[in-house]
Amino acid sequence: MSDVTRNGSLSRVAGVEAPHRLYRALLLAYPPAFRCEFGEEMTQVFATAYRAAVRQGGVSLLFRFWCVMLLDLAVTATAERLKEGFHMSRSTVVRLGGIALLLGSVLQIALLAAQAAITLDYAVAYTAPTGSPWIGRGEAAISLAPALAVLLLLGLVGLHALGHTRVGAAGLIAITLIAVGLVAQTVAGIFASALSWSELSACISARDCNIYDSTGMFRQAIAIANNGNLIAMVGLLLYGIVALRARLLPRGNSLPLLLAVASQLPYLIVRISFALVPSPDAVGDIRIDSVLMVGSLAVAVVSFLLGRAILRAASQLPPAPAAPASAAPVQA
Amino acid sequence: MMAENDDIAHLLPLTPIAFHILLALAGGERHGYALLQEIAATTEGQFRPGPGTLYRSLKQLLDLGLIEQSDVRPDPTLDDERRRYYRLTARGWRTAQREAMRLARLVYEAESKRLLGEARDTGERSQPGIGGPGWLGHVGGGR
Repeated sequence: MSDVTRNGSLSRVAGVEAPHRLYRALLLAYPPAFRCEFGEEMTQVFATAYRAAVRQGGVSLLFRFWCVMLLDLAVTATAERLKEGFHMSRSTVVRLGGIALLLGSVLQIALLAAQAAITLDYAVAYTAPTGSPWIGRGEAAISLAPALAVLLLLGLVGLHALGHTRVGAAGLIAITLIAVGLVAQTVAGIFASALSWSELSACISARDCNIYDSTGMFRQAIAIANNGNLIAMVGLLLYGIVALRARLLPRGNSLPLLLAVASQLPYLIVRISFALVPSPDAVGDIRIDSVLMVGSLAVAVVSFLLGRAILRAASQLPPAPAAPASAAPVQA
Repeated sequence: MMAENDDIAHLLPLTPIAFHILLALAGGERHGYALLQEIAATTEGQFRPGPGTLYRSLKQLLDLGLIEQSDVRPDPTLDDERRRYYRLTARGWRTAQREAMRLARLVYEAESKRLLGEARDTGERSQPGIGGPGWLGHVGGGR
């Protein structure tokens, strides 16, 4: 029996609906003509492959499946876009930005869990003679941070495409600050995580080795990451204010922007106090980590709300030009 | 005939995904997912292209006239009617043939330099029958 139902309604296949809809939405990354010609078949192939992966079972297999699918989509969609001259309608850019922010909020939560594991590692490492059994695992999960930075940037590009003429130069400066800050934070953060992961892995207990720094590079990388974070936060704050003033989002959807601005203020204060008064010990770091995690949770919530608001706004934009008649979808 | 050979020659060497698609279609008409399954089986799971890679390659092969859509459905009662099947064109068949011969000559060259023999000697996996003297003797003369 075919994996695809006979009446062609893939969305009715149990367990496939949500991934199927997500993959279909991500196909927006391809040029319209390509999407019209092959989009339907690609979602069928995806759904069939997804069901096969589910049948084989295992979270790690599904995680690998999604990684392969997303990488394949990113590479081939970019190649097709470059081939076609990278013309993307405004509504598509905005919609992609909304989807990216929704995905980003989910990833942010996952990274928060990883950050919590790291904090717990430090706490346990200082109290238990054998150290934490989870030591190093949180740092490994942090390697997903670049994906989060890319998703947030895509989201901001989508938001900017919504009303770039209204936010003007201040909006552009804010976007640039966010981009520079995110890149610096991500690259330095990954470097610091790799360093701490390699050092922690070599330790049996935190008491018998210096998990904080043996070369001094860890603190430098953390400082760059923190400064990058600070720059991104300033950019986000600026963009929030500019976007609010320009009424970038439709009426009734300004709450996410207000929240974005409001959540960044305490976050910024903590960051600046952290920069001015370095923590004297690990316990201080853990306290600050906890406050920052609350800030990250706020960013995740804001990303979700903002993504949803952007998608709503995108639905009010004029539709993308129709694909050529020759690129008709699969015949019924 | 010479002009046609020149026309095909500039397409070679084919990319791995393009050759795998043509190779799979040489066995008969296939839809997208069947192609992926056959490619995975042929390569023992080492090459598993995603839908984007597959359909991008199918588009290129369609544009080059190496494959075409097929209206024939092996068994409409067992299949989703929206699935499209693909098959080789005559040009696609000749291109696949030329590429297969090119690859066979490479393998012959590797065999003559005892690369395949060494792989066998060091215990690495090789296909049954590979490495015997002159096992590719019949290829290479069809050009």
